Amino acid sequence: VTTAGCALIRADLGAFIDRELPGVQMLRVADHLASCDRCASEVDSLRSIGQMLRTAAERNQTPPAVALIADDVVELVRAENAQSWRALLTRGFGDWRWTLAGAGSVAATSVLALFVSAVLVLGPAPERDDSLAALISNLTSPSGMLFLEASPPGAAKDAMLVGVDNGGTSREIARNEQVMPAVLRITEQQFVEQLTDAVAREGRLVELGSMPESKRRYTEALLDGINRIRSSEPARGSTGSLNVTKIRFVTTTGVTAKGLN
Amino acid sequence: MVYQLSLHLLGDPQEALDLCQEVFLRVFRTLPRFRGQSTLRTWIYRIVLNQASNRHRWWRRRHRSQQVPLETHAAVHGELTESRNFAQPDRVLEQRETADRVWVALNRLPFDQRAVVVLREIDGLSYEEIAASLGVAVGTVKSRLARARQNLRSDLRPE
Repeated sequence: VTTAGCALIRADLGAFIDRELPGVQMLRVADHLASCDRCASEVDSLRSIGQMLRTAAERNQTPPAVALIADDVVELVRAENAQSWRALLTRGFGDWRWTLAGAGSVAATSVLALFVSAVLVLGPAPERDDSLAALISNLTSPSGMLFLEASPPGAAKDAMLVGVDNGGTSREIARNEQVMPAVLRITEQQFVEQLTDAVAREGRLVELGSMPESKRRYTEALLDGINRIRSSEPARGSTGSLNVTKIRFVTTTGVTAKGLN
Repeated sequence: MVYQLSLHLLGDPQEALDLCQEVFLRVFRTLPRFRGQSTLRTWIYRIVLNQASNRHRWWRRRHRSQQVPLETHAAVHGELTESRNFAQPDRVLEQRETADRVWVALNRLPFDQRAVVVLREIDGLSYEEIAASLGVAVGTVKSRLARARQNLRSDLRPE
């Protein structure tokens, strides 16, 4: 009679005959088999199947050809190893040639694209006078020079062009002060008199460009002094020795798209 | 070892020879990659099982249309030796009949069950080694082995 205990035991019968059960379970199954003929018969049946398989397997003889297979395989492997690298490469990549060709094309296209990009980014740009860089360059560059068209009183026809430092660069002022450090202590009238002497030679006006360097700086310093005094003091009218008829502001900039140093 | 296992798995001597050659070649080529994570025997068993499984699958696909039920085969070619209904006094002949019956029953098992029962009953591998050779869990080995034994017992039951 099969009991509930038999059902539990039968699940382990296979592992029992294979000796794959833990020790405690082996003892439990063995105890059960000692008292249960049906389960013992089941074990015998399972064992007999295994025995039949082993007996049948013993009848199979290994043919002599098997021994030759090992020799054939060794020869084959030796022949493979003896092949040249070129043959191995040809065999290994024989089916890949179109893949390699495609990969080479993609690589060449990529290199060309990189080269063109580098030329566009790093190469010289054409000059443009309306670029943002040009505007920034103008704003940050020195503000240029003021030029006066002036003439001595009573000699309007001999108007000359006089360059005036408009104070845009402190460097120019400092240079003028070195030329005539006492310039700030004299009055505007004295400045005008000295300027008249400086720009007039034998009753004619001398252009700044034709003056010697030292005299030109001296003249610019005088004009600078006049500007300073006039910017800090009320204007005294045109009582000076020069009649200023026109003021020109001249600035020059070089413009490139990349900006100027 | 390799030939016997191949023969038990495939059931055909010529197929087993071909499989042997494939296995030897594969072992020679891949031996440098053997890391010793399993025993050499288990590693070789695994190669045999994989190659046999591939060959079995290929053979089943190729010859599916040519397969006939056992009853049809018996009707055309006569009964198999195990069910011949006349006395065989010779003991050798009786053993041969029994062996034939065993092979027929073994070949009727699904490949997974056949591999497990061959590795256990004929080659004597432990559950752990069988699991490593097949790349499955030990529990799977137990269940496949139980089903294989049940199927074999049904087929080999005396009439």
